[in-house]
Amino acid sequence: MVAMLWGSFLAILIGAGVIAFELDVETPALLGGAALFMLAAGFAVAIARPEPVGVEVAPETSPPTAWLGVSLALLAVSAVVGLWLTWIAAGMCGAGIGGIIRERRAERRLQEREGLR
Amino acid sequence: MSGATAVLRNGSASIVDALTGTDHKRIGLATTATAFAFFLIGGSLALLMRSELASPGMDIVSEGTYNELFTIHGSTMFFLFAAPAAVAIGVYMVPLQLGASGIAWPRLALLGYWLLAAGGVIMYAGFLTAHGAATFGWTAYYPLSDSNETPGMGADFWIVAVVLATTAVLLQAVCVLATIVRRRAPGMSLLRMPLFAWSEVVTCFMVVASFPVLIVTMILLFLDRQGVGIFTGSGGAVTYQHLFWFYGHPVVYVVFFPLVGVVGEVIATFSRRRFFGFKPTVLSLLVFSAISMSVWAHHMFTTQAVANNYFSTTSTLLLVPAGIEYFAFLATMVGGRIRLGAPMLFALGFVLLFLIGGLTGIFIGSPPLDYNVHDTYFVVAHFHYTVFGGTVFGLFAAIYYWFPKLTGRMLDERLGRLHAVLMFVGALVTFIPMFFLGVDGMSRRVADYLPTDGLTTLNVVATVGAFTIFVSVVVFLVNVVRSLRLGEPAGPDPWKGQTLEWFADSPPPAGNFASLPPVRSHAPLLDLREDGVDPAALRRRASIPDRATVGGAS
Repeated sequence: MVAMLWGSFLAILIGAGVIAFELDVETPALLGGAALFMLAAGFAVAIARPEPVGVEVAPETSPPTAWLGVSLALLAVSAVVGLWLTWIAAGMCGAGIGGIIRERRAERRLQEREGLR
Repeated sequence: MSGATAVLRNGSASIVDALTGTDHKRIGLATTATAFAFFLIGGSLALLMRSELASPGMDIVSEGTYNELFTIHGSTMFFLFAAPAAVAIGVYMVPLQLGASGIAWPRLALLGYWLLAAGGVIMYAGFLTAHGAATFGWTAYYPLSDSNETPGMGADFWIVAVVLATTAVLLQAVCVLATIVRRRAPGMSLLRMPLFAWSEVVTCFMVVASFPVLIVTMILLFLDRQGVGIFTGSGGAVTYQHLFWFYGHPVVYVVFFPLVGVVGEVIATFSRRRFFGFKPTVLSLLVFSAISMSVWAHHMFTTQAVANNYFSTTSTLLLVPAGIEYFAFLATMVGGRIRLGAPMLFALGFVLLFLIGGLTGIFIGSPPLDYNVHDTYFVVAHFHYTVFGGTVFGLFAAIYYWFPKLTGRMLDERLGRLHAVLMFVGALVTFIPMFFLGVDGMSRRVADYLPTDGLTTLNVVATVGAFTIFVSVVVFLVNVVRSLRLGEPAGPDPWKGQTLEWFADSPPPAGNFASLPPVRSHAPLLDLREDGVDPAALRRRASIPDRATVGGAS
């Protein structure tokens, strides 16, 4: 609701601008787009299913997430440095995502074993 | 509304664990510490620039190097320090203030940390390239930033770094918002959230609404530099400015609002009374942040390509919610029993210095006045009073306020006060002369000036001020190192705080709380004291099994 309220404020600001001032194209496009995005995001949150009350299991550390972060950074740098790094970074990203999937599976198994789901 | 978090432990606590931990406190601390390290590096670049400008003639660096310095200084301060730190203190503190056991989507927040760290390394790697680091200023105005005007990998690295660092802040902001939506403790309705949590709400709204625009803009700029021709057409330069400032102005408030929340809480706690006008202040934060999304093109008045009257109106409108917040700060202090501890000194510094920035903002929010001082040191002085006076003083208020919570030890109060006084004096001595330099016609981003320009004395004064700030930061670092080893044990609530983080141990354990007090307002611990209940005694009782208090851990 707060996001929708805030999006409405943006809509009022740009609405007033369009009505009372001679604006260029970019101004209503940018601010109006932000207003619509916030209204849509607020609506999506409002209608989303509430999180089931229960115990969420999380690992104390997540090395694959850190690995994925570094890999994504290398992937971005590869746009400057060259295709050779793209392949390496993409492989690293794959390994990172695989590690996260393994972690998630372990979490689910633990939740089921402990009756937390 | 809330779900508890169980942690799979592996029992060790190495540096690798600290940097791969999914606990929101580890992520928040790692991000804030990394951002602060970038602040120190960016500040060092500023000292180099001030040293160069202390006298006419190129004494220390070349013109090209000077261009790299001011570009990377500004980029560091916004992309790598201020915006990440503003959201990262939310990553640490918002779950604690909401009585939550953790942050929502901790892996996403951790990913954000690593993208930020990598982005910083990549930006500075530009110095090692053949053409050096980027030289087009932190705004990367087009066509100055195209591949003809600024060739080389350093500029490309800068773009990649900006994308990564901005994405990092975006990811962490999403996590903070999700925590606020999904993880609040029982009884913690939206209007019972503390002021700092509310300030993070509006900050994260601005982040999710404006940061994606910069990410896309930087990708477009990168493609343009590869010859795709995105901004080359008629009006492309102005379109680039629209896109950049749609991020570039909101980010000034992104790095400001969380510190408004911090300062509000520090003022209430150190005035030993409830924050005055809590609900109007929350509403003013929402309105303030919305209006601040609509003012970006006041940076573009001199292009003659925007509706100056609209952006001048919205810019001036900002004074109304800002005035409400200032009134609330002052009204909270009036009638309070004020303790002038180091956090309060920094909070007062924030209020006074940001006021200078805000009032001079009225000048440059007015097109006729802006035409006269545009791209001069007047603007440099103005935004340093908002960003240095606002963000840096607010951040130090937060550090002095929450250091005992983070570490379990108090910072030395005398060194803290010395730090506050030196930094306040340094901020005045550095930036006040810049107003006069600007009015006297000194352009920003110039590496040199002539002895006959009559600008030498004021530049010397500004440089002395910059080194005063440097000395104050050294005092702070000494204080931190000393206090981590020898600091007085803090206990859970050294300031008699009003919000839930002061109900947790210092430092808070994994899971944060063994139990929670009832939440009836934005200041639950103050409620207890007003009811004659000592939160410390309640906490001790609650920690004994089978005698749990009302509420319960989330």
